Order: sequence, then C-alpha cells, then structure tokens
Amino acid sequence: MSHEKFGFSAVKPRFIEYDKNDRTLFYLLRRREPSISICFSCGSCSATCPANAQTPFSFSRIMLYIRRGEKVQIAREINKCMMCGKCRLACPKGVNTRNIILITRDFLQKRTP
Amino acid sequence: MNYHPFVLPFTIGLYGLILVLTFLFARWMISMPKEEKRKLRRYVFSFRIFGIIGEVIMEVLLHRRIFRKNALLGYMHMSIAFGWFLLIVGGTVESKMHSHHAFNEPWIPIFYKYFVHNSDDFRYAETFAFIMDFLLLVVLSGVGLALYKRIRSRIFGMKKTTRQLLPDKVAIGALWLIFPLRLAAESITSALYGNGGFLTGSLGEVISAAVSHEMLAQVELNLWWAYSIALFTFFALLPFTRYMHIPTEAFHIALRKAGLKPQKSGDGMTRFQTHSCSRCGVCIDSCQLNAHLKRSQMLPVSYFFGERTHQPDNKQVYDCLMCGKCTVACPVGLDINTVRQNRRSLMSGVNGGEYSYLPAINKEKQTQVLYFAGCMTHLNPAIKKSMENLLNAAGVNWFFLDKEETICCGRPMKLSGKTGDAEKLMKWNREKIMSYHPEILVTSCPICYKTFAEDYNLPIKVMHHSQYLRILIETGKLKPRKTGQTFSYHDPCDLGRLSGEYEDPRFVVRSVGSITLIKETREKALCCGSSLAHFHGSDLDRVILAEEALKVLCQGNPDKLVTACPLCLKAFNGVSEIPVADIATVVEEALE
Repeated sequence: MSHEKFGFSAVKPRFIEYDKNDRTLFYLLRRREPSISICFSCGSCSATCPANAQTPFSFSRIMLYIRRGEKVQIAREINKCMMCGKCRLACPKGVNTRNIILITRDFLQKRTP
Repeated sequence: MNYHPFVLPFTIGLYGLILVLTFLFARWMISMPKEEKRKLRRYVFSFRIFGIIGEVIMEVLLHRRIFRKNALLGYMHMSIAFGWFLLIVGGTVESKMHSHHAFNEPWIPIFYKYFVHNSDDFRYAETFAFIMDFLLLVVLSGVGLALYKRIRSRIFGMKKTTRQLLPDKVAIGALWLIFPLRLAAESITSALYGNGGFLTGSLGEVISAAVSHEMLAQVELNLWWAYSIALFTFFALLPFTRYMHIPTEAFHIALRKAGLKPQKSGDGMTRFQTHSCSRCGVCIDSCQLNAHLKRSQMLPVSYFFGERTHQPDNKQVYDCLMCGKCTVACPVGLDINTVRQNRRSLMSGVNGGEYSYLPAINKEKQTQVLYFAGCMTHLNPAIKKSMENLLNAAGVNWFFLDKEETICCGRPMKLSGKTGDAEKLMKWNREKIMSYHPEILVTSCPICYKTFAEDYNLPIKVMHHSQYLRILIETGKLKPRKTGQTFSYHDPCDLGRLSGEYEDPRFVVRSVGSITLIKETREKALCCGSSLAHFHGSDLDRVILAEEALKVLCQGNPDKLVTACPLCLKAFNGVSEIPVADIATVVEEALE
C-alpha cells in the first residue's frame, strides 16, 4: 500500500459503540454455558493453541469480542479454531471453551447462512 | 366348525399389525442410501444369507447377548419370546397335521383347543398336548419372573430400570394376561371335553370336579373372548410402544449382519436402530454420567426415544462422553455412538472452517517411522520425551513430525459434528504425513490413533505407541527389566472399547511389572471423564468422574497407575494419590 512506503499512516478511529453492538450472543452463551463468566483473560488458552502457532488467532481475544458484541470480528476469527481442546485443559478456571466455540459458530452460521 | 366370532379381535389385530409393519419397513428400506441398498443386495443374493439367518436365530430367538448380561434376565426374556414363538410354531404344525391340509384358517393354531375337542383319530395328539402344555408352562414361568422383576430388578443384574409410559403399561398388561388367559381357557375347555395335556388336563379335572358343567360352558366362551381381546390389545398397541422392538429387531440384526450402518440422521438404518431399542434400561447402569453426576437426558433409552418421536434437544446429543460403554452393554447391539454422531453432524452441520493459514507442504523427506505426538501429548511433555528416548534407544530411523508445525488430527472437530471442517484438517494432515513417505505412523494419543486408522485411509501402517513399543520389545530392540512394581492399567476408551486394542498395552506393562486385577476392565473399563466428545462437562464434573474411575482402578492397591492416553493421564494426574504415568514413561524408566 502506498502509505507503507512512508512508514506511517493515519490512525483509523478506534472506538467501540456499545450501544449499537448486539450482545445477544453473549447472553445466549451465558445462559447455555455459564462458565463463560469466570474467564479472567489470563491468555493460557492462546498460549497453548496450535492454531495460534500458525496464525494470529487468540481465543482470549474472541472472548473479548463476544463480551463486547463485535460480531464481525468474531465471525472473522472463530472459524480458524480446530476444536482440539488444548485450551479447555490449559484453562486454570475451567472455562468450557469448546462448547463456547461450538455454540458461537452455530449461532453465527444460523444467522448468516 | 372352524369359526366363532371371538376369533375376530385376534384376526383383525394380526392383519392390521402386519399391514402397518409392512408399510413402515418398506418406507425405511426405500429411504436407505443407494450404496447401502447395493451392499444389502450383494449380501442377500449370495451364500452369506445363511450367516444372516443363523445370526437372526441366535439373537432374535435365543438372545445370546441378554444371557451374557445376566442368566436370569436371559431366561426371563427367552422363555417369553422363544416360548411364545414355539407355541405358535407348535400350534401351526399341530393344526396342519391334524387337518391334513397345508392351509387352514389363521386363527386355528391359536385357538386350537377350542375348535378341536376330539382328536382320537390323530396319532400324535398326546405328544402335541404335552409339548404345548410344556411350552405354556415355560412362558408362564417367564411371565412370573417378569412380574417379580417389577418388584426387585436387582437379581436380574439391573440396579436401575426405566419407567413405563401409559401405552407401555397397557401393552405389558395385555402381554402378561395373554398366557394366564390361555391357560384358563384351555383348562376349562379341557374340563368340558377332556382334551388337555399334563397341565391344562389336570387343571381341567380339578375344575370339572368343583364346578358344574352349565357354568363352565358359560365361562369357557368368555375366557376365549378375553384371550382374543388381550391379543388384539397387544397387537394394536405394539407399533406405538417399546414392543415395536420385537418385529424391528429381527430386521435390524439381519441388516447389521450385512454390514449396514447408520449413514446419516433419519435414514433407514437409523430408523431401524431407534425402533429396535426395547427401552429395557440395561444401558442406564453402564452410564457414568448417570451413575456419578445423576444426569439422565443423554441416556440411550431417553435419547433414542427423542430420536424416535421428535427432534432430540441439544443436551441429549452433546452431553455425552461417547465412551461407548452403553454400546457394549446394549443387549440389542445398537450402534449408539454412530447414531449420536450422525445427529451431531445434522445439528451442527454448517461447516465454515477457515484453514487457509495452514502452511503449504512442499518438503519431501524419507523416513521409516513417523512419530505424531498429538495435541494432548504436548500438554504432557513427559510422554513426548520418553518416546524420543525410547525411539533413539531402539535405534529406529524415525522423525518427529511435531518438530515442524503440526495441527490437530481432526477427530475433536468431527466429534463436534462439523464433519466437513474435520475433513479439511484431515486432508492437510494426510498430505503432510505422506510427504515423509513413512512405513509406520506412530502416535501417542488414542484419539489421533482412532481417526488415523479409521478416517484417513492412509496407505501405511498406523500404530498407537503401545503397539509399536510391543514390537520393539518383542524384536529385542528395547530390553526393559522387570522392576517388580504392580501397575493398574487403565483402558482409554478410544484405544480399548472403540478401537479394540486391549492386549498390546498390557503386554508392554507386563514386560516391566505386573498388572493388578480389577473388576471393571477391558470393554467394561471406565472413562476418565475428560472425553473430548463431552461438551457439557464442567471441571467439577471431570474431577468427580475421574475420582470415581480411580476408586475402581485402585482396587488392587497398585504402586502406579498406567494409562496409554495423554488425556486420561491429565485427568487422573490431578486427583490421584498414587503416581500416574504413561506406558512410554514406565518403559523408559525400566530400560537397562
């Protein structure tokens, strides 16, 4: 891109409109997988993730997106998961990560066929 | 005289039932996929048909599987089912031989005693009277046991049993009434005409001495009516109750013997399977989630009921360890895991997996043995290190696949129901593995082993590390010494029950020490509770399941608990008081 040649670029506006964000997914997850609430974003899941070894993919970041209700970002990221379950065992709090990912994927795919 | 109006309920019920069943079975057969139909055709029009017939006789009539479960339960079921079958066959032969006609009215064998009073001209009359009375006695003993089972199911080897729905209760009432009514009706007819065998005849003598003949003549007809109506009630309710398993099971066993499997949710074979479930409840005792966590939705009895009547809900499908214990326990031999897996594929069918980030495979290498540790092994690095040391000590020409980037084998994804995404991962892995041109692929994880062996169609030998270690020990490349320790070996579900590998890990452990005897082992082994198929388990659930499994595993006071699965190792490590180790670590420690 052209701006990269100069080594700098204009920063895009970075703000999150919580009022406009749709938090239905978070509420659904909280109902169907209550362990989502005990995540304290330590990042153990991302550290052990085999997908994260290949590409920037972080489950803790997805959790953040889910809480904020940023569906576009979730949809962009979540399909990279391989469901291997390492994060489930690495999690010190016992968050049922695989179920969260499964529910999220099915939720997003049902909304946008 | 070969007709009386009381035969009508029986005849209408019988023909109605045959019509309904023909319609249902034809619909299910038609809805089967084309390849399955072709497979069936190839099987039926060959000599292998005799194998099918033999299997059907052994299973449907003699119920080998129930006898294996519990002898008394087997006798109870066989005396009613096989006894009744023989009563029908015996009655048919008797009536045909007596009348010297190959064809007679369909109700004659059932109500034979009412229509044939005088059989002096029939040479085998006494023999048949004895046989039929004996069979009736056998069936009545079964009905007696069935009644007793309602009070005390424990002596039949069942701690828990199912609750009956109203149609089931009516049907079972009718079934239980059929035989005492037959006994009563035949006895009274015998009291009037003296045509009974040792049972109905002697009962008839007693009755005719006590009651006047006019009264008996009135009661007799009413009893034959009641017998016919009980038969009608049973036939009419059969398609809506658990007794649907009687006709369906015969077909299901034949189809299973022909190698047919449920391919997708709702197909013909799945229908045959779900309707073959007799809701006996034998699976309840085998389920760990029910025994230790008091959950009951996912039990095969209730799940199959959901599968049969309406859409099963999420918890019935996903709250399951898929350990396969119920499949082993099931006396009908239903493929519960496959049906549930197909349902998962249907419920979570959209596959949007995006794995374009996986690096391209271009390096070509040559190695004899390729070692794939697997995701779970990486969480227990001790296994990986032991395997490295063992393979080096044995002087094997090997390569550690995970030195370069590796990904998940795809089975966890498959278990979630996203078969298409799992295929994508498998395709990449297949290419990656084959780019090394190995002869043997060794993996440390039974989950990977199962999927490599079953889903990948690799042209090379796939081995779990316990199998490979056995070969290394047998060929003398590894020489572990006996340490004199006692081990308790835990069969991982994916290696044992689901892949049928019990001997090789035991051989490896025995080459180091001795194995303690425990009650629930091999195909009855308990699951560690951390199964990747289980989507509704909290950490507490896992701890409880692991603790309960440990109680069983530590029955013989072993020095060490050995397992062949990194996931089981992880599950037991947290809760065990005695040390837990992988089979590779144990061998490495014992090397000279």
